[in-house]
Amino acid sequence: MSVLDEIRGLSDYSDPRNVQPTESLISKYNIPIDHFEFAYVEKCHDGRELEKILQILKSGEEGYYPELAQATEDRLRIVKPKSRYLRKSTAVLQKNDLQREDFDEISKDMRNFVANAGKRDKELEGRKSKKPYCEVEVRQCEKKEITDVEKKKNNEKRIASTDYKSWDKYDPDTEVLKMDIEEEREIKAALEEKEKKEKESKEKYKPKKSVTFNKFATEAEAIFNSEREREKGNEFFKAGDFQEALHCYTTSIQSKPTINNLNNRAVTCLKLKKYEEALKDCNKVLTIDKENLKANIRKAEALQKLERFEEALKSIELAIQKDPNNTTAQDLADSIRKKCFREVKNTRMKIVEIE
Amino acid sequence: MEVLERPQIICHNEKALDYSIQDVKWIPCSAKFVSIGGKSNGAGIVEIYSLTSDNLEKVSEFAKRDHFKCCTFEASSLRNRHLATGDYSGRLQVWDLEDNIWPVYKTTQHKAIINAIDGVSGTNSGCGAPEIVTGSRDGSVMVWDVRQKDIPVAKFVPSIETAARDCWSVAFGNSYNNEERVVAAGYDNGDIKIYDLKTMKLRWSKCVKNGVVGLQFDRKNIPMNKLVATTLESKIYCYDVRTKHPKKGFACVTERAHKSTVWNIKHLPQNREIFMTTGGTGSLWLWKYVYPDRRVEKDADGLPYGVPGELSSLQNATLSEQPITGFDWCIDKIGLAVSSAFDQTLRVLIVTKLNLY
Repeated sequence: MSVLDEIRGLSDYSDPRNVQPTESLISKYNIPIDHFEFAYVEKCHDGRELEKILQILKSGEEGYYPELAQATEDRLRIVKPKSRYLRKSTAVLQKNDLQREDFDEISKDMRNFVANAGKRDKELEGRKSKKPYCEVEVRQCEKKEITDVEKKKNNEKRIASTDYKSWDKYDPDTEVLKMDIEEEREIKAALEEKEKKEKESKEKYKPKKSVTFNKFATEAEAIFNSEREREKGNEFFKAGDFQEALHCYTTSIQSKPTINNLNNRAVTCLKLKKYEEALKDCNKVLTIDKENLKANIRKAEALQKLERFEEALKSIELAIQKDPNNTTAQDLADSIRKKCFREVKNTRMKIVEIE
Repeated sequence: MEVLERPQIICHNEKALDYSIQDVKWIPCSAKFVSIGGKSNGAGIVEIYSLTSDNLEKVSEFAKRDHFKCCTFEASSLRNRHLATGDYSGRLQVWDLEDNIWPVYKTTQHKAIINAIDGVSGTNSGCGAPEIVTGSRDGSVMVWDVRQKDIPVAKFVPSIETAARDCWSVAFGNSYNNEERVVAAGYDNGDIKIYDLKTMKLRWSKCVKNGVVGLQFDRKNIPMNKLVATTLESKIYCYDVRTKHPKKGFACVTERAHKSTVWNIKHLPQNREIFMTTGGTGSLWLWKYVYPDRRVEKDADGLPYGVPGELSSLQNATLSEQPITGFDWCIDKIGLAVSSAFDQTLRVLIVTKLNLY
């Protein structure tokens, strides 16, 4: 991490003249010379070979062929679009590189942030607490220190190459057996641990409502916590871990309910097939913001799953009013209408039969 | 999700300073950050900068005896926002930024420079006690609780004093309830070790070829998910630490980037799959970890093992001509970051379109 290491690292890489090539790249990669042809390159399907050809051409060892290099690069972009040889470094944009409107948008965004952050900062400064408070005790370890035990073990086992007496006693078969037993033991331990984990995870999802929440002394703290938990929930949601996501969103809502975290919990509940809960969250959002698009769509979805089609239709129509071009809303509306229509049809059929 | 427009890295502000900057950190819940380092006369310095809508203003500063090396706010509550610092003489100090004549807490247990520091659990409840971990050139890694004077709550030392390796990086992780917590440490010989604070055991150890300069879990307060290590000679290692197989260990993706030392790795606090690495040639590289279709497979014995995903490069850009050694994302605003380089310049950066990923 010293400057010296850094300089050494630089000289190794950035300046090829410092490295004395013992053999040229072309012989190292063993690529026949007739592959350096437009005809070959444009038809090549081997991404790895194209990468090598590109490297050789760019190194300049065989001469200067910019057009062939360009053709190889173009082909590589088709065959292997994620190749690391296609990565181009750009300069960081400066303020005056930006388009006028982009720049304005960024400045506006920053002004908002600065104003908001300043307000919360002041609030926190006014409520400074002298004592560090925490409900968790200071860690009490029986063993305060641990050292590398592993290394020592290895040193003891090693037999010096000149220690012939010990080598006479050494029986490779028993050693192999020992290793096998050790391996088996490890696998067994891992299996046991796996079972334990499964058990734990089962226990973990039992509803534990006894968790108490400390009320935050300041608004700023509540907002901060709420935001952090929501972000954590979003990550779990994206990774498909809906149970954990639900937990995070609930914590977030307990810190401070907002449109965002309620909406997110609603969609998580939908994924977990908890339609009643989803409906509740959507209704909460709609009391804050009557025309909220996401809440209306999700409410419609929940109602559809609960087979309350007429109410669902009402919600989805509200959503479509707000954003007529929303394709998910349109698709959902279609399927709900079909259901509604069928119900109507069924009842009519009955009437016909009675008559 | 296919996103057509890539994130752009924009330099919003820059300021040249008259001392060597070692670390930069945003003050949580504010538009301010601290810059720490040392002057040529040997004094250590802490400066506080405030972002105005389009400028950068110095709010205050204070100087102490030794160069500061590293700092963190993460073990302090939002109402206190105390800064924990490690310095060249091996002192850990915790400062109240407005009342900085004496530190709130200090220890002198380390015998040499503290290279790395990390904090945990300052702002969120239900994730254990707030603790600070320090890694030093003397080879030891110590865990501190500011409520306990002079003695570390846990200590990891090399077995033979003479064989002590310089510890270059430390990171907390796995702190998802009041009991569980691990510390990861990276050393100059390429060792990465994960110590378990609950059982006080070495949980995992691995040697990568080069010295480990940067180390971070993707998130501290969840069951440990991913660990990224950056080393000398342009290597980035990304371990999936969710599933450990007795023989295969953790699944790992490696990447080569920056063509020099990769000094820093910082995950985006708003999205753990995205992270920035900074290089010795002054370049910034933005990555996204893409999970495989199935993260866990089972082997012949029915034991689970992890499947590595992929690192996709979102953007890379050159910022300066000198190594970028300090980098910090703002937790309150997605895409906002501050960096410091060996050219003694602070830069406030904005990365756009991150909310689309």
